[in-house]
Amino acid sequence: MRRKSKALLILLFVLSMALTACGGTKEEAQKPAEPTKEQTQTTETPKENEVIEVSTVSQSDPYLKFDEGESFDKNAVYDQYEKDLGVKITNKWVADVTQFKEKLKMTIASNDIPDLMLVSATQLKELTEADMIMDITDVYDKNATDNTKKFLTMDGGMQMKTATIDGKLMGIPSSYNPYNFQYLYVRTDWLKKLNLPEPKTMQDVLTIAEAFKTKDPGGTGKPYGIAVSKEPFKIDTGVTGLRAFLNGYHAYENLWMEDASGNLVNSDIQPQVKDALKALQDMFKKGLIDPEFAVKDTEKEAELLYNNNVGLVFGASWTPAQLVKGAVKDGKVVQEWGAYPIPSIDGSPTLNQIGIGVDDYYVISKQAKHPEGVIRLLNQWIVVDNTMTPTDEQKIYLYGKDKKEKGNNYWLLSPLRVGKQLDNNGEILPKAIETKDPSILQTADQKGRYERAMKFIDGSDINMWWEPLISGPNGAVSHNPKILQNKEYLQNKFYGAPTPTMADRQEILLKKRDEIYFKIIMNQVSVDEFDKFVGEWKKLGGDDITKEVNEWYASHK
Amino acid sequence: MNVLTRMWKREWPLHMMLLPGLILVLIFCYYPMAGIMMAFQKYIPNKGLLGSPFIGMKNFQLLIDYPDIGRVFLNTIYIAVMKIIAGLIVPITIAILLNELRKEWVKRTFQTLVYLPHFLSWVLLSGILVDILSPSAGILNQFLSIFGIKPIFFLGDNAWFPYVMVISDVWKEFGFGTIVYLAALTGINPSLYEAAEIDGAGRFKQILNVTLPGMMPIIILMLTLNIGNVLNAGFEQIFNLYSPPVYESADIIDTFVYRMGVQQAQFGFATAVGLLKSIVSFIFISVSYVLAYRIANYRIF
Repeated sequence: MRRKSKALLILLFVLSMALTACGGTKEEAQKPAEPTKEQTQTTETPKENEVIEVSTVSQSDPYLKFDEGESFDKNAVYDQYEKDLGVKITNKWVADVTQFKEKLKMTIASNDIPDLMLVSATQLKELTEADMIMDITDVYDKNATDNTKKFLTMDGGMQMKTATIDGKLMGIPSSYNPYNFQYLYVRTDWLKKLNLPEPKTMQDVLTIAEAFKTKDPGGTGKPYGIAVSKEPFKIDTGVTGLRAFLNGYHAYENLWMEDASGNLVNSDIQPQVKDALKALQDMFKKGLIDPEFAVKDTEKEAELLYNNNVGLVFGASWTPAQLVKGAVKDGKVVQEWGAYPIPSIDGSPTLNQIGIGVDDYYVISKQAKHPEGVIRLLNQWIVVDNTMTPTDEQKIYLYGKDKKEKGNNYWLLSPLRVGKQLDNNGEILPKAIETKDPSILQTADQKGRYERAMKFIDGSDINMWWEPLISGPNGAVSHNPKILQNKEYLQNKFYGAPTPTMADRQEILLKKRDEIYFKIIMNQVSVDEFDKFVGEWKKLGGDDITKEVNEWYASHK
Repeated sequence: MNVLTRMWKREWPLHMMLLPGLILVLIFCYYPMAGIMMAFQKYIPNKGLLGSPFIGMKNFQLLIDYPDIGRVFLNTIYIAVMKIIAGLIVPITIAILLNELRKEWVKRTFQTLVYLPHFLSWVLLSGILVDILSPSAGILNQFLSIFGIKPIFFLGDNAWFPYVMVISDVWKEFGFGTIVYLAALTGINPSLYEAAEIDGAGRFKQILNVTLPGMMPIIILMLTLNIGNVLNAGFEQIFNLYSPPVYESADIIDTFVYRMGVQQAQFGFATAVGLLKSIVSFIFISVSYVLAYRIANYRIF
């Protein structure tokens, strides 16, 4: 009797284990389905009889602030898409900006991709080869509006071409204006204090950096000349990078450019880089560069800017949005900054290195049931983002349910966003802001920027300090017309997916490069190590890559 | 036969209790081993293990061709071996010292305090370490400057980086080891100490002749288990603390695999390195097992 009951107990135990295990998976499987049911019952769909679902993955962003009670699962923007288009957006997962790319790689590796996702050029090629994403040529052709088609080919169709593999459109380019330049930002109040001229040449930059170091105008006791962070050559580093510095020496970061005979060569091994590194090494020796830059990320290094240790930094046009954290304190402007074009080391002008205006692509999973839903999202985004006079409904997409700009950045919630491939902000905005004349504004972006700048100028919102520094009369983009007119830029000539050797060796080469560049800058090895690196670069696959790139170039001329 | 049947009748519930664990081991430990195939494939997620094309030893070839592979292996072993040795000596010493403490509450408080860092993640600790070791503002360098020592960039200097890794790792983990060794100490028969005292052994002699031999089995067990980790130099720690100027002394197999496998999406290649690592670890652990048996006459299994 006793033995029997014991056996029963064991059996029960084993069974309950098995049951709980099953229960767990069931619950999980049900979760995403539940809200759908709720939604279809409560909301009406004006355009379609049926609500179609599009799953995606999202990046949570520090700049995105949710209204109370809203989240990535449920918010005014998603509701509005569903109401206007009959497209219900769900997130398979949401990850922090810093984690997103890693997590996306894991998602692809585990073959569990959402209907819509944003991937890199490399991934676009891999996913196409792996047959995981859809050929959207027809879906796009049928569902994209004329407005959308026009919008995405403003650059002459170049960016769309990069998304086309073997004649099939495999993704929608997450396009932006390729003429995105970098600038030099300097503390103008310090220039005045020390009676220094504005930076016109690279020598001026060095002089200013040295003066900022030796005279310590911030009075911190720990001044440096220039702010540099741990990934200075990465394209993602918009502030505290060194790409612009290289450009000033006519050197470029991992860019394919034509040599004298018209063949493509990689910029990383050109002799101009050595000159730039030599200059950086000299700066490091003089203590102009934070000796710990190699372990500090942008935000940490930027503290030196906020705290008056450093007054010189290179960065993208939006750098002032970063600088504002130190420039405006307790409702007062405590730092004055100026934006200048990148100076040159010699007589010939600096060429800003630029890409082709697309790094990432929106792709649709082969398993997606409603690819047309994605194109509808695209159509709607382009309309909403580019209207000069948004209707009440359209305002929800940008600001949330109370339709007011509160700095929440609700536009970040739209799962598919493409930017204008051309802009004339540099022509229009400085003029409009100087003359306070909104009538010449042409785009929604310009209108938004104009309004923000005016808020600072008329004193109603001092936190908008950064906008005039970007768009105002002497702001960053005010230098663009001259750069564009004189063609003072150098565009990457290679825009295909990575070549076979590149896929195998790129990582190795970039790592070698970073190691040697850093060591030279930090004065751990002589600048002549650069020549050794060039030899190694060629041997380690660089020559093969160059060959492949040139074959590609010959077939795409 | 009869005996066996009777035993089975009596003991089958016990065997049944083993079943869930066995199933879990099969699912989570043995089933994934099929993934080793990836090491010989150009793995494509959509096609899966069975559909991806086989490319033979090309992944291993790529590994051998990698110019710094020797350096990477050496760094790994150098850092890992130092960690194993320091991770053995420090907790044993601390455990013996703690054991000598009379006041129970002091011992317990200390034990808990040193155990705490074990629960902190390296992401968090690396932020703290960067601040502590900073040459311009870190406390350590400020302390050193009192003695007129020039600031040292611990995290940016190839001469220092491996030691910083070892010391910080030991600091984080020695509390855990201490607990294991303290447990071993309680297993020593007190009458041995009494006998030693009668023989005229002082405190120090007692440690040498009673405590240490008494701990030997556990020490050998821990050492043997740790030797399997000789190719694990601590990915999380190094990944969070290294930077281009110290690649030379800091790049280990795992960080290398991470960059190639995860960042470059070369799954097959990453698996090949992982497989190689497992094979080397298996050899090491087998050798140490045999040595432990031959030299110390100690068997784990």
